[in-house]
Amino acid sequence: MNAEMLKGHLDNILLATLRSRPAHGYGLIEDLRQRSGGHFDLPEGTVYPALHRLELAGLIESSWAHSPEGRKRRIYALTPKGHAALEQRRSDWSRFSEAIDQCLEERTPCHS
Amino acid sequence: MPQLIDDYLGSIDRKLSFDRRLASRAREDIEEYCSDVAAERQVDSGAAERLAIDGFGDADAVARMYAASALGHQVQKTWISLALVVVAAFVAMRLRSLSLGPVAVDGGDMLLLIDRMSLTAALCCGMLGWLAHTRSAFALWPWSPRTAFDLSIFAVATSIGAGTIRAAAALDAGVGAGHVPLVIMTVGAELALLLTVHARVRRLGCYFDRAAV
Repeated sequence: MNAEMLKGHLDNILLATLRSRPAHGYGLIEDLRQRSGGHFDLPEGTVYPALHRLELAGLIESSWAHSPEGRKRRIYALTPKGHAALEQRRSDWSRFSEAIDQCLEERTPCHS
Repeated sequence: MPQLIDDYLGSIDRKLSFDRRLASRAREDIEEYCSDVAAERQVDSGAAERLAIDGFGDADAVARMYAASALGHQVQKTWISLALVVVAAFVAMRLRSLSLGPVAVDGGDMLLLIDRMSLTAALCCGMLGWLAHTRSAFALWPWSPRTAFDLSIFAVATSIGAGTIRAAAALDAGVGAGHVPLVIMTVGAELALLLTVHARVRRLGCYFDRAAV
């Protein structure tokens, strides 16, 4: 998967991954990798700053917790504002992808 | 190997030295990732550090990503600070007007007009700076947010200057020495706020510079 293609959707992907449960940075990256069948192998240098950006925007929040082995970890969770933003973005994406699909179909008029 | 990660983290610290909290956040993220990699992949700390450095990329790229991640938030804070300074300048202007009363000095009306128009211009420029960064509809706007914020500060300074000259002229015309403390206090407060927001805009420039490297 082209990393450039993913960049514009990184925030949405991260929000969607956090929807089911809170996660720490490393777990999030691994979760994404597994859920996408290895297609979304995002560089760590992209994911952590994006999490910071989402946190500053109030879409996610973080808190410190300890792993079972006693390591200190930052756990990220969606805020109510993040849930609302995710629903809105899902809806926008559905409309956008439908329009793109129609454009890519042969002999089908393109409209959005 | 510890020397390698120390150099790497030190380099990121220096590149983000304009925001200690952001530098500290980047350091915490990388250190956390290192310990997670070491535990989850069952590798020693040296290999984990190598993986972390490879995963995060070179220090310049990491600093750029973190600066970019904080940019939107900083632009918003700068816009709010500017708006507060404009409100404070307006309140100071009204306080002086109420205290000094109608000022019959040469050019008094012109100075009042400059004072008011500059404040309005400051508010508009500040808002444009914020919108230029946050709204795609402003993508074609020719000014960068930095330019808009600089213009906004210049406009506030012009307003303060016009207000101060007008108040000084009124005092000189014999309005009464009892008004001097109020004039000094309001102008002093305006200048202090202006310097504070100026420092914030200068700092915002560091985020833009680093995010653009």
